[in-house]
Amino acid sequence: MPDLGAYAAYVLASYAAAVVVLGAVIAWSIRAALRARTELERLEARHGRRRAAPAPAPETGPETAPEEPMP
Amino acid sequence: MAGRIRSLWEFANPARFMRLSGAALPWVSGLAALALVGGLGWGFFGTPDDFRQGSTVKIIYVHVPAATMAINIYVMMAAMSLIWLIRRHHVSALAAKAAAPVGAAMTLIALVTGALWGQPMWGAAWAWDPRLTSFLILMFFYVGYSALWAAIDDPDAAADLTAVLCLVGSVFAVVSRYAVLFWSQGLHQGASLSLDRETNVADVFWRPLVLSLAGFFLLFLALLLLRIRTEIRLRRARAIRLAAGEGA
Repeated sequence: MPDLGAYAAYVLASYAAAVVVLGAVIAWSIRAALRARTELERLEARHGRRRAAPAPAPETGPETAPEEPMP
Repeated sequence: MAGRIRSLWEFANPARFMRLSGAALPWVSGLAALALVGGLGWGFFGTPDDFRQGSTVKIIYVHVPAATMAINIYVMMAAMSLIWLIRRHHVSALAAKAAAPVGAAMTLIALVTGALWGQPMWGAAWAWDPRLTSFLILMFFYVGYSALWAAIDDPDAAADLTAVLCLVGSVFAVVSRYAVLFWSQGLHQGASLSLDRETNVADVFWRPLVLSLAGFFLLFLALLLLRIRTEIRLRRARAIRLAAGEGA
């Protein structure tokens, strides 16, 4: 541990704040991702997998690479 | 060049995006962890105190990357919003939506660490300085942007309105970046990173700072990919529920 002198509280609080905020965003994002995946798998199992019509190969740019339809 | 642009547009297809992002996500996450631990660890444990700022100089390794990402994430959101408004690519709208909470977190870190740095160095945790004030307004735009997404049920209408709000707020992202140049007043100093060796931070601080910047960027990229994948899955779930008559 480096000697932070009189400013130790400010430096440590800065790192702690960054860890807490980033940790919260990471945890929230992972939790939301897991819940969304579980929910989609549940719906697909119940109603069958909903698939869009196969799209043509995007050879010449966005005009020939249509999106999978979204509601 | 045309091939690169074409491959960029291929991400607009949600199915292709899911496939490519699924393969990239573990690698980006691993690199982010390595760069963050390396950069922050190097900066905290392996750099000396500054002759004027003492040990508070170590705050630079969290404050500057967070502030840099806060501005650039908003600029990225504005670009995605423009793409949505012009090309109607759903993934671009979802990318802007997915980036907003991460950008808000970066802005919050920049504001908090800035206050913790300012208190011992300026004698004040807050001042109505041009850069600080523009960052606070940027924070409000991040929060307002996410709140607007949450307030509108129709996804396309929400994407339209939030895109307009995002473009309006992009003015403050630019002001945040150049505030210290526009107004030569206030407490905040100029940019810490510069191509000019006279104004750039010393090499001993610069190297871990660049690694920490890379870590913050890669973390954002990993979270962005993860959150876009979540949004795409939520859209698909909504579509299935609507098709099955279960409501959105």
